[in-house]
Amino acid sequence: MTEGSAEAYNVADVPHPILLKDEAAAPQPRPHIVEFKHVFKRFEDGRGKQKLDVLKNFNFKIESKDAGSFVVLLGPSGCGKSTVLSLISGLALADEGEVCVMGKPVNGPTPESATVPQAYTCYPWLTVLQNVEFGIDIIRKPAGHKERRDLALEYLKKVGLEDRHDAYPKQLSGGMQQRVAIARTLAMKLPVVLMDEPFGALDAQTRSDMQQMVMKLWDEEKNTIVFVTHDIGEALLLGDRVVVFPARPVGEVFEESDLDDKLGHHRPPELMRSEGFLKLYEKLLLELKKKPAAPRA
Amino acid sequence: MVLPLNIRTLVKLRSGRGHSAHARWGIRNRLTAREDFVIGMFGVGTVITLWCVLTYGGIIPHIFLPTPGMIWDGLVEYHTQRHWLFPAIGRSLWRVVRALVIVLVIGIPVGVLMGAFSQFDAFLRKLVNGGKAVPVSALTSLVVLWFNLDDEGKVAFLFLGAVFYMIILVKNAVLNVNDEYVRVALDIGANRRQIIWRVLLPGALPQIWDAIAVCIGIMWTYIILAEIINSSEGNLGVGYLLSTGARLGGNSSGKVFGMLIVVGLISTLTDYGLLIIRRRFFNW
Repeated sequence: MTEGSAEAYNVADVPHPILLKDEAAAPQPRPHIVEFKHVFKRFEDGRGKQKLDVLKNFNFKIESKDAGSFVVLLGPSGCGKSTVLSLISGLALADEGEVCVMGKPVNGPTPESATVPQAYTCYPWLTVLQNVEFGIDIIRKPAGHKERRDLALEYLKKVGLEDRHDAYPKQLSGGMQQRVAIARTLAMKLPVVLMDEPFGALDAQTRSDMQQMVMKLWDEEKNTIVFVTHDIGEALLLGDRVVVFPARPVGEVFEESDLDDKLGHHRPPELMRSEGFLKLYEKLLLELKKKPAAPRA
Repeated sequence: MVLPLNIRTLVKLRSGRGHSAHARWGIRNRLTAREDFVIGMFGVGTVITLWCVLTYGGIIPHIFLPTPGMIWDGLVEYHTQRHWLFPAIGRSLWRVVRALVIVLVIGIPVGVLMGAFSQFDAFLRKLVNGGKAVPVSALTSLVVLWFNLDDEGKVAFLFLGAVFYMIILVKNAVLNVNDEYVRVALDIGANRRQIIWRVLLPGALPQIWDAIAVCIGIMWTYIILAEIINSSEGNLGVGYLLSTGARLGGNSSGKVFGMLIVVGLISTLTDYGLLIIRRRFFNW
């Protein structure tokens, strides 16, 4: 990542000599990266008669000091973890309560976040390069056409697809298409990157390669990543902090944090067989099996 | 043709491709392109042979079914004696092209807006469905009333016959664009204009192209009707040549059958051309 873009959102974390003085005089709370305050979210079932509580008085935050951390939301299918992502990205809005991203309440698509979705979402009518350019074209950052193209190529290189930039998505494997989606999202250099089970449809080997790639990219890019998965192993391999969503409706959640200290920062696939990893695995499995804390209304 | 009937080819045929061991006459058996073509030509050849036998053999009266030679003579008569054949084809095509341009200019924007905005859809859906429900042949009276079904009238008739279909097909094409594609653009922060131009339109293009093909088919069908009604030598068209052929006397069946073949051939070639363009440019 270039210096300029790091400033875009990490400026608060760099102790600026002048700012530091000001803060000492009047300490100003820096905005949380993501904050859910007493959030309720209901979905109507097919006929619109029965309301389904997904989030019930849900509180959650990623503090500013955790900028650049890797947060994993872990839970079974349909537990509401993807809903949390939609609420952060602004594609869904809370029924009650407030969701804030970078200190600003969300009431439409959030300009500070972008999502790597579950399905293959590369536009089939655009080449690989044009797909990566799509995101930065829309936000017009950087301003010049040439610069955008170079940036897109740079990110294609990061995901190892620079030699396929002229191909169409149809000519790529599922894993490659997801890499294009990751490049498209990261090239926008936004403070928050959301990943909604991005490797759910991939085979085990590709999945493992992609996990290692995402870890490497995260090291380089320093975006705050919120990653949704139902796979405990994946959660422990990637996350610095794992939030466990047991079942609907989600109110209280269990958290396992500081995994960087417990499992190390660099986590190769072999780590999955180590004792420390397996212990944590057991622990999260037990948490997942717990009944929801809040009774269903 | 010498069939290479040795043991090896027999085994090859029996093991087959596609479904299991039933090589020939297997249910939903797949054919190679070559086999498909050969069998298709065999079908065409059979009918032509049968036709020749029936007509040249004098089994069927010529007024009912002309010989291939009479069909050729009929077309040659239209071309050399009356100088009608190519001008008529040209003018029919020109009417279809003009009508198509208006259908596209109105149908695509309206259909896209209906597919993109539910309000537009709610406002127009009942009207468009109503318009589509009126049988096109019934519109001839209306167009006679308005335009006396002269040249512009025929274009207006084709337009009325196809525009409602175009709107509905384009709307469905836009609605069929994967929701995920729209979500990605929304998430990135695209505005409505960007989503329409950069996601919905390109995503719907293959189906819009198909819609154009359907509308050309519809118009080519109705042009015959429009040109049979109120047509004269000054108002040439393939429909006029068809209807006049039956009345001119002489080799009338040759002329009618000849025009049928010409009309069918033009339609087939158009379809084929559109398909090739679709495969080459809108292949997603």
